[in-house]
Amino acid sequence: MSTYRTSSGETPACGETQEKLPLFVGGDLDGESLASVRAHLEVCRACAERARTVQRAREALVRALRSPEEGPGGSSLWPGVRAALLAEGRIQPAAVPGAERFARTGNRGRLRWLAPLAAAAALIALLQGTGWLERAAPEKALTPKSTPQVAAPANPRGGTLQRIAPQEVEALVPFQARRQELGTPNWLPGTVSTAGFRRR
Amino acid sequence: MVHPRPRDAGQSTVSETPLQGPGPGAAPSGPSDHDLIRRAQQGEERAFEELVKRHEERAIRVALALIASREDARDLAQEAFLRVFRNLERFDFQHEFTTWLYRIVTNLAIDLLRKRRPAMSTSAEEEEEADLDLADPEGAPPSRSLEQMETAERVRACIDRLAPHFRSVMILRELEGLPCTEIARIVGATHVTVRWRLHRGRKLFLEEWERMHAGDPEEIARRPEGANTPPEDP
Repeated sequence: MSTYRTSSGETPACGETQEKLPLFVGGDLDGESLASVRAHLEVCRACAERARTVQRAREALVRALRSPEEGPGGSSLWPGVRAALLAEGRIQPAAVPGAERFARTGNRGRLRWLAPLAAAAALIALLQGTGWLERAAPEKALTPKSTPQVAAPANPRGGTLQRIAPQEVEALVPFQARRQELGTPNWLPGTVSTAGFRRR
Repeated sequence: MVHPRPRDAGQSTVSETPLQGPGPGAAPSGPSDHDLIRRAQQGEERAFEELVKRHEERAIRVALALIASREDARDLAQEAFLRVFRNLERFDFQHEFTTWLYRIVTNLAIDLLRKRRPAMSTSAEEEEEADLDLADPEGAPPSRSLEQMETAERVRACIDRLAPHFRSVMILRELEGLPCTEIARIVGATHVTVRWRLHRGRKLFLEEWERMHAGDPEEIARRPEGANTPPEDP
């Protein structure tokens, strides 16, 4: 009968072999340990049977874990992930389909200061398109259209001024006329004294 | 002492070949994970979307195996991808993306498992004695045969008795088919520790499995004569 002997000349005991079976059945033994277990199982029926039991248990585990019913299933996580990132302000809603971009991690808000400037530029462009700037500033009517210059009227309360749309001005006129009828000075608090402009 | 003849014993030789798991999977066609991460770092949402869609199944599968609730597993996987995004700038290109993702998923799952058993000590020995069944009773579809379902439930009950750190190592090895070196990187432990956890986890699983099947007539019938006698030295 051939018996495997370790480098120290000992035959591995059943206890030792069985202790290694959990790693053996998963293919996680190597070198001398693997050789010794293999050799022992060749000659020991009890340990070989024990190894089969250990292997059956492992196979049941693996089968159960990998059964299709245990698979992930369901729809993609992406819509939920995207919604959460939108809510956190980490990505921006797409203005143009296919052109989605998100704020780079760590750079959030870096270009936010540009937003008011962009809004102001867009408003000026819009007003230019409607020709309202020329109507609102008749004293500059001789200025070439390509370079309109708008001077804001003096404001008794100071502050930054913002252009408003013509229809808003028209809506204010009856209110202002009513004030004049009542003799209320325009500059009192609550009055509209900056026709064509609104305090920001 | 009479030793069995080698030929007889040879018939009962057990294959030690590991069952191959889904593993890291074949290399996906198209851009690599690292390419997608670079593009996502530059602000390309589509790249991150592709990364999520490429790995979401893997993330849910591992989460589900760890926490046994489909709904919680999906929530957990989603949270993992959010954490990936929030830390995208810090990704270390020396490692695989999946290593990072597995680490986040397993850490989240372990946190969740520990929250679910707040009274438990973190001592491994005490956790091993835990008697909690975390299986989702509504998780099994009706198409599965009764026997398979029962087996799966028993397996689940055995897994749930394992401490989280044993469970995570076993699932990464048995379900994902990852080598111990990779698991060591994921769980932040040494290779030796991972092997020990794997060994201990399988042993504990086996003990639970046998305890559960102690009175099972099918299992008793499978046992050879004298199987319950203590093993002898050859």
